[in-house]
Amino acid sequence: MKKYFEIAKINFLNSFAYFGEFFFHAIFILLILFIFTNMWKAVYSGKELIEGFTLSMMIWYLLMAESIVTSSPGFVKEVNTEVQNGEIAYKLNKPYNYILYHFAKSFSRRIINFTLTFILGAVLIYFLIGGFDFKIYSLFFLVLILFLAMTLDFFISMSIALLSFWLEDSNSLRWIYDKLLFTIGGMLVPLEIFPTWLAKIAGVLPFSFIAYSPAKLFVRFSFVDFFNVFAIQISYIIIFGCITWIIYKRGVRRLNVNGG
Amino acid sequence: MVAKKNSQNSIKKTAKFMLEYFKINLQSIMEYRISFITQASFMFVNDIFWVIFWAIFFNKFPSINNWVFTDIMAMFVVITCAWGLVGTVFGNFKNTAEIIRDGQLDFYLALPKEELSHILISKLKFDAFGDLLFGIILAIIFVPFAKLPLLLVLVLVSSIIILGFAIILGSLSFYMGSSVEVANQGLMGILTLASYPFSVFSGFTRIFLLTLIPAGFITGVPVELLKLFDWKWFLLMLAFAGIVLGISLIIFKKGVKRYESGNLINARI
Repeated sequence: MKKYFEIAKINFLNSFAYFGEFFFHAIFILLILFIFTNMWKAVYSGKELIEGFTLSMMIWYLLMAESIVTSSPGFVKEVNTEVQNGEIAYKLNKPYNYILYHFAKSFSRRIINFTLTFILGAVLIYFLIGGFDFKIYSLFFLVLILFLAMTLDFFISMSIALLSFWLEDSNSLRWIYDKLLFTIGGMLVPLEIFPTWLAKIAGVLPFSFIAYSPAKLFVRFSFVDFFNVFAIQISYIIIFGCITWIIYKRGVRRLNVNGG
Repeated sequence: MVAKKNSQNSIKKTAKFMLEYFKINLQSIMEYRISFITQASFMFVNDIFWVIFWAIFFNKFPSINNWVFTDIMAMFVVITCAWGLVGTVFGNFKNTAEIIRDGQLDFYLALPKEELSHILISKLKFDAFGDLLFGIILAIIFVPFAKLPLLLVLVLVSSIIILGFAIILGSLSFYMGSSVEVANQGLMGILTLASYPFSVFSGFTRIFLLTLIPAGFITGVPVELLKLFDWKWFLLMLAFAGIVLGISLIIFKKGVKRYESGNLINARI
């Protein structure tokens, strides 16, 4: 376990060399927040509440959902390249597990991405809209839910990335997965805005436990919702962890590297 | 008189060269057909997701500052067709900054053809075909038949603005050393701003979107013109496109004069 912590630590420190990249990423998210703030202001004109959300809750929800989803580093492309050019063969010989190596590496970068985006976004929203009634006691539980949301996202992304053993370009699948998170995952709007039938379907799919549920708990925390989300996130992590492991084992078995 | 004739001949030659190059580019699709089909169809699916999002949104809120669902669809027609058109014809429009920064301009300067048009057309952007096809299908569904000629003109003018804006951002590499990040973020920013209803912006933001980051002229004004035609705004849009393209050409040509070769040796296969 210690070696994965060290991998995460090294990558965390290395990431500061790419501060400009993080900064531009955060600026783009601010632009999206600015657009949505304008849009929701137009929608809310004259209304106090929409589906239990005030205007400020809606914008803070968006910030949390955006920060989670867009903080994911592009490791799918990296794994895709490693499989395509055979570099994975060298990593398989190393004294670590390939999947856990990528988990530690991507998580450290994700923490910086998330933190920077969230802080800059929070400053912007505070000036544009103001704050909201945040339950300070929920902080510990939220951090746990965020960790699980990012872990679930990692395993789904990794299972897509490992399909590179069979597909020429699994990165395109990641693209579709991103769009699922944006829409039925509830990143752009909470599921309450959906028609009831669609909200019911989206509410049980894993995508909403990455974006919608953590963001909703952030603006409207309750222990009942927390325990529900926690239990379902753990279940999905076990399912996608197993899927990732199976794909990885089968993929490595078909690995055929020429030359060196 | 002689100078005017020479200039006309030069434009004709460039247009003919671009047409021939475009034909060759299209033939290259057959060589990379799997990649072409994958990228174009994924872009098509990507666009469908946005339509689903807006359908959900407008199902709940039928109007945002007088924009209804069909207006959003018209906006998507304009942005996908214009962006797709620029990408299919001028596939390198997003890469100018990188080409200048990396010294790859040497290759184009050494040839007898006009360098800017040569750079822009020397790559085919496969995903742009997905955008273009999506825009055309959406136009058939959502834009009334009588308005299609106007739509065509508006798409062409929007394409000119996108192209001009891209050339300006790319050409900044001549002056800044590298404008790759600025160009990437600038183009991503304008595409994003042009993909949301213009009616939600007001005051200073609106002025900003009609000048410095002209997303308003790319989709906002065209949608308003499709809703209710107004000569004043139409002429303003035409003039703006002319100004942006003119400025972009000046910045590029002046930049070429400042350009110093990186002595990069590479092979184009």
